[in-house]
Amino acid sequence: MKRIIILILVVIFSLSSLTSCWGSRELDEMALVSGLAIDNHPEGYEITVQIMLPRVAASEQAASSLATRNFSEHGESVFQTIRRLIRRLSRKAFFSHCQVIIVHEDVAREKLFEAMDFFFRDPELRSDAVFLIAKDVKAKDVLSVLTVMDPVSGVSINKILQAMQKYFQANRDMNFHDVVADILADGIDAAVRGVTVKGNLEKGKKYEDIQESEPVAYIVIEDLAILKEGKLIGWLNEDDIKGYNNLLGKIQNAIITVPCSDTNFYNLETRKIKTKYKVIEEDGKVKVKVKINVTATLGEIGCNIDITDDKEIKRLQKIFEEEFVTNAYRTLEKLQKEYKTDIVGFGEEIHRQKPKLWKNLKDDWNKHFETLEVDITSNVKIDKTGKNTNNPLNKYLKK
Amino acid sequence: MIENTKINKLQLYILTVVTGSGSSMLYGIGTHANQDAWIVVLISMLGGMSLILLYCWLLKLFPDATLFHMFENVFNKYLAKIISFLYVLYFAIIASHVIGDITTLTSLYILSETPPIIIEIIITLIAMYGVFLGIETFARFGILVFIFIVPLIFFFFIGPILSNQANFEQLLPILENGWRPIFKESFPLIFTNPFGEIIVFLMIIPYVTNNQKVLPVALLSMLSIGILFLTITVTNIVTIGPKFIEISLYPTIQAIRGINILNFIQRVEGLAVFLFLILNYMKIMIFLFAAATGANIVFKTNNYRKYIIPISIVVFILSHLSIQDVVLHLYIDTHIVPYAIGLPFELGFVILALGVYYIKELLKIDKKPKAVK
Repeated sequence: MKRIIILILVVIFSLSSLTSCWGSRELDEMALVSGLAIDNHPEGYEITVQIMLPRVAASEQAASSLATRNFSEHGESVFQTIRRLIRRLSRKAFFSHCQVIIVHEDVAREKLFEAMDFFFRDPELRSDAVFLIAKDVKAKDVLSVLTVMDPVSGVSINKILQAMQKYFQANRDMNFHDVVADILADGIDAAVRGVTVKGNLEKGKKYEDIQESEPVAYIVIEDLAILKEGKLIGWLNEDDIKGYNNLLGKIQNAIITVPCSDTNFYNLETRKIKTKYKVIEEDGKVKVKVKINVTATLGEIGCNIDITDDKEIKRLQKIFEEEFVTNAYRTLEKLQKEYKTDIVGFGEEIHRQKPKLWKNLKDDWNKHFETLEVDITSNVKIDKTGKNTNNPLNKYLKK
Repeated sequence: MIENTKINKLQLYILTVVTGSGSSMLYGIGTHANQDAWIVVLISMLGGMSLILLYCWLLKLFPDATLFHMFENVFNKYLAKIISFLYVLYFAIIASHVIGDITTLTSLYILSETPPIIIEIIITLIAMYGVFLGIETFARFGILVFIFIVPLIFFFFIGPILSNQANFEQLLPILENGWRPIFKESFPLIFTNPFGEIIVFLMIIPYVTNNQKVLPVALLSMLSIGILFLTITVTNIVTIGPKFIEISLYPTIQAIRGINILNFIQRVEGLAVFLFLILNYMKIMIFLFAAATGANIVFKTNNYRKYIIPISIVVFILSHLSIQDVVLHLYIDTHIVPYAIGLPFELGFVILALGVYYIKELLKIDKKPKAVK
């Protein structure tokens, strides 16, 4: 009997004291951050957080009111400013679900490292947030544009990037962690995608914009920022990014277009691009041989060509091989001559393949990179043609 | 003296593996060897195996005895008492260290607003309770841990690779700076923790059935620990990269955070921290048990349970001191513990005991012919 009473007392005590309520936060009481933007401010930084409103999202009126609100504060340091937001939010912002971090190009030019430390140190922030640099517009404006497909623009941007990586050329998956890993690594500098807003920005922030059949403002992911030793020094445009991706060889799906006459094109959808590096030493000088291996599907034919003929396919493959090589060379030249920055990772390859040689080059790699001899070849294999072989209207097309 | 409780070989194996894979797998192993850290693990594993051979040698000389009984046989009475008492302190320090480790981890990742002292109190109380119930009970708990938690933990280690974010090229170049940094990292740092901590099993051996044939079991458990550590190290290097490991406090958790399998299994680090916590209970309980039984032998009493509470209080205070300053804790962990505590207690005294034993034997042989005359 005594035993049972003691047992009951213990159970009651445990039940009431071990409910793990200490520091608990209910979902609808949290300020869930979906996106974060950092801009320059005379005082230091201006930081904007995009807060999801769970009450709205959960209720029936979700479709007729905004799912997010943006809050801005400015201050001398990132952490201080984020905590200062409490005055407006009435609670601590919760960063675990932050989807995107956008930094304005001026911040990236001057003090990116100083601004970034907080995001590593804080255990709430996850490394899978996408990292972008706002070009020509303020970073907070990118977050303010209302998006249609996803009510939360932070989520929307993240999804755009994921989809681009899967089905569209010219993107390299760049989360926060990758950027820093590249900055830390020897022999490679980081490159980050840019983001900008097209259209009428002022109208795009208003709720009426979502009710228009054609949005007046929209977010565009474009260009690639080059971070030399962690500082933004310039941009690569879309054409250059093609060459960059070919050199990098991490992209699976890209659309490559080659003109076949004045107005018509051949289109190729690559399924796999694999780039191989071979570092060779020739009388004291380093030389890198790059081979771009591509497997692709024929996407669109705009000219008269009989692809059932093996010779014609070979010719087509040759055309595309040349395209890959010229693209890669063009980008490489720009990187070597104009920016003098190795964002592809030639240094890393030398480090891995010839560690002894690397010891001499390590200290001022970017200088050695300027004069590095690179030999690019490519091998394109078109092994699928879609549903058809020839264009059904082949005979009407121009040669 | 020693109670009539017995654990079988499977339980011994599990206890060894769980103990060996305790808190140290949270921290990066051999971080200063950069991408060669996995070689550090392999070499330390060989070191650990040679330690096992050494311990089993000692065990062969003194069958059915704990480490303390061996000292009593070899050294003079008072010296043996002093060394044994130091060992009790050593077990207490390691236990407090583990408590400190997991408290810091828990309060950083999952219970950020709970005061750390509460976490420590709860951990210490539960560990005390486990030790109070005796070795058979927590050996059975070990089986539970082993069946459910070790596979899950193992999954957490290969999860980041399955998440398609691994870049195996990061393992190159192999042996960039030669063998020197590798040996520097493996001895004494990794050699003493986790592998050297196996010395605690010389306190548990008398409880094992048929304990003269533990050598294969012990070697197998060393191999298992080595494989577990090899997996973590390789995963960490190929996912978050050697440079990043160097600046992370908990690289393993950092890698686990990256788990995202088909956008379905993701954000699992909370669970991982929780599982690490349970896994580390085993280690705390074994060291508390070793300290309590050790004190029992030193003071020549017949029930180790009366020492649990005082030792736990000491352990609790030490652990609370150790978590006051993370940087200092890490510094002590890597710069002081291996040299001042690890080497003498895990290797020094054992070799000393063996040496003294054989010198005595030699002297005996010299004396014997004289006695015949």
